[in-house]
Amino acid sequence: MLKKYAAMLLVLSMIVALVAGCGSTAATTASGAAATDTSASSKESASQANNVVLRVEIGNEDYTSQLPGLFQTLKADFEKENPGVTIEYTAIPFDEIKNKQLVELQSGDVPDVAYCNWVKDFASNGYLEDLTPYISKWDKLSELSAGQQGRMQYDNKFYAYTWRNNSIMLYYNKDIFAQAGVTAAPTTWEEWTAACQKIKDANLKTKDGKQIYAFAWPQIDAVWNDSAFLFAAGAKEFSDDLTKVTLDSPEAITGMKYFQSMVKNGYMLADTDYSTNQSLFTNGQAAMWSSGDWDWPTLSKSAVKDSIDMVMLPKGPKGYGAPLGGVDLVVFKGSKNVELANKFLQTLISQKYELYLMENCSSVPTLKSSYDLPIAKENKVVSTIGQTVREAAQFVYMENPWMKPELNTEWKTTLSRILVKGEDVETVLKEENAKMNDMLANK
Amino acid sequence: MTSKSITKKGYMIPYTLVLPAVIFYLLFWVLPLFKSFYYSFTDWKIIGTANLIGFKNYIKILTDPYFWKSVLHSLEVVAAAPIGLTISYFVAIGINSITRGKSTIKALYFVTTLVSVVVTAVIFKFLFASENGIINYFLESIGLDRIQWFNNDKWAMLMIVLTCVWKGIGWNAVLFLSGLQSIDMQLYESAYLEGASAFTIIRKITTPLMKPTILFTSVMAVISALQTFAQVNIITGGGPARGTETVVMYIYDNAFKYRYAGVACAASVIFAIIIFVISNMQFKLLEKE
Repeated sequence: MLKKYAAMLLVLSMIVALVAGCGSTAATTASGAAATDTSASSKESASQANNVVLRVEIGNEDYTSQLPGLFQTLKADFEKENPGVTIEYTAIPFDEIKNKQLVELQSGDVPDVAYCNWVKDFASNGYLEDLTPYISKWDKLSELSAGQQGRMQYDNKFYAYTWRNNSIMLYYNKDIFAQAGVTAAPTTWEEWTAACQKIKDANLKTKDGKQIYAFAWPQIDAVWNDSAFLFAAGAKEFSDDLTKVTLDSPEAITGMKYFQSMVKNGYMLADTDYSTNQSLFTNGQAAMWSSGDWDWPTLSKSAVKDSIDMVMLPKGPKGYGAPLGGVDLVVFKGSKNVELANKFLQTLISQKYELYLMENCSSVPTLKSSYDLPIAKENKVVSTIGQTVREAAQFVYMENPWMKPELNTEWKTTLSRILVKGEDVETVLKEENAKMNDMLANK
Repeated sequence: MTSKSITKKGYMIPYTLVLPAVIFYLLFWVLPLFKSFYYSFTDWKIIGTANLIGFKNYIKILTDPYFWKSVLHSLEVVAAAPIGLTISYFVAIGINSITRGKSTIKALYFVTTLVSVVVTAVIFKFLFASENGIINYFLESIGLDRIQWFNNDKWAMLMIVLTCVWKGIGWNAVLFLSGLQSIDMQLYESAYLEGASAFTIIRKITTPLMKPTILFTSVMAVISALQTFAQVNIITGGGPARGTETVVMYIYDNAFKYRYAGVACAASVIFAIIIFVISNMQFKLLEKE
């Protein structure tokens, strides 16, 4: 009898647990709905100027641990200057933001302001607010380079503010240069090849007998970094209207042939692993390394830290082609706080927070005038990146702000075929370009 | 029959006990299965509506050379499963034959299972690193050339296969060991008295009696090999030039990278059929023997 009651009790408890599980889901859904209601009401109240909640979606970025401090300072300042306004942040891991935003778009519950490095993709789908009326009147617009402004636009309209733009530069080991007889850092592709050849000819070895390579590249199939070789040769990844991939152009072939020659001549390893390549430079096994400001915290603690210097990436036959990175911030269509969102973003990109970035976050600023500040001039990493950003032209990258993942994968495959497998550049580019155009047409 | 009488006879209790599991199974296994099948005929992109497009996804996949390459790569991992099973089998026999420290040795072998796939993959990635990896250091020290493991499809695939084999040893050995321990020791004693060699004992006594365990373990090992994903994703990322991309990775990329959920569902259906055919063949083959 007791056994039966115990069994009944067990069954009952399982049913309760199940119902409770469903109940908690229901409760979650209900609270989710409540959150949506709150958001809707906040949107409604936006026009009333009081009790406005500005929802801001930001990315968690590993290498700038002090960014939360900046955002909290900005929140306090902005709320003080704008009584009745509350800033609500949501921080999301950087590589999950796009998928989260797609879900938010599906549910109709989008933030007002958000990190969005896929501006052209989202703008072409009609997800973003046209910010041209605000940005065209913005007094800082003239401080942004053509490349920076290019990231912010789609179809000649402004859809984003760009922020903390970075790029890649050439870090080099002065000691290895001296041992190989390289007297100056290369500034052109010809000088780059010559420096690499000198280092190769010197056949240098580390103290423990390991081969010293002329050059290490972060990732042989990194689509954003590798675009430097395309742009410096005068190539474009897309037609101006973004309807066609143009990676089979003579310029693209020239750029990729040059990159391939670096591998074929034995100046560098065709390795796809970032940490392997980085360790070559930090162990003194590579004379040159190409990366951005985000790498400096690691490099400055490495065994070769005292031997490191840096310059802009060498120029190609058609001039300068380093890719332009950074963070873009947008206002989602449907936001009832567009004006406030613009005010918030323009506050973020003002001198106070530019200084905060340099002083506390080891990050680069955005505006030209910020690079003229003593703190920027004294910091070689910041000033070199600044010089790069200023010269970066208006390019559209496969990775962002035009982000099409399936094209990215195909472009990575293309790069692997050229650089890792050493296949004929022209043949590969023609084949892969056709495939990518098929993908673009059948999206 | 009244509800009282049902309770009296105790009919309700077993049904109610399995009810949560059945609901769970229906919600998280059966329903997604049917939904995936439905979505495989749509243009669903995770967000937005799913419009029926007939067999378009299936045609796209079946004419996509990358899909067939990924099937081939998955089959290459499967082809290595017998190697892993053989090693596990002899490891289990070895452990079973020792009299002292069996539990410690068993635990040591089981470590390969306890270590997560991600950690295993990262360790193997370091081991095979082209420039500063231990494997290349060893090859060089015995006068051989370094191997650019990540730059060549075949070497990269071998690296993944080795990772999968290593990872599976512990689990398979434990399964084999449980089978071995159920064999009557008297059979071995009689065989020894008859003067049978160790090899004969394994061939004539152990292996025939282990057939059900071997069948189960090999089916599970093949299914697990077909589902290889994390190792590839971490070690090679499917490269070089998609030279190590497996079917699961192909499905994952289509679903979550490109958001072609319809295509991914269709690929999953095709892949499920492939797994079913292979498992069926295995059952038939081993049952015949």
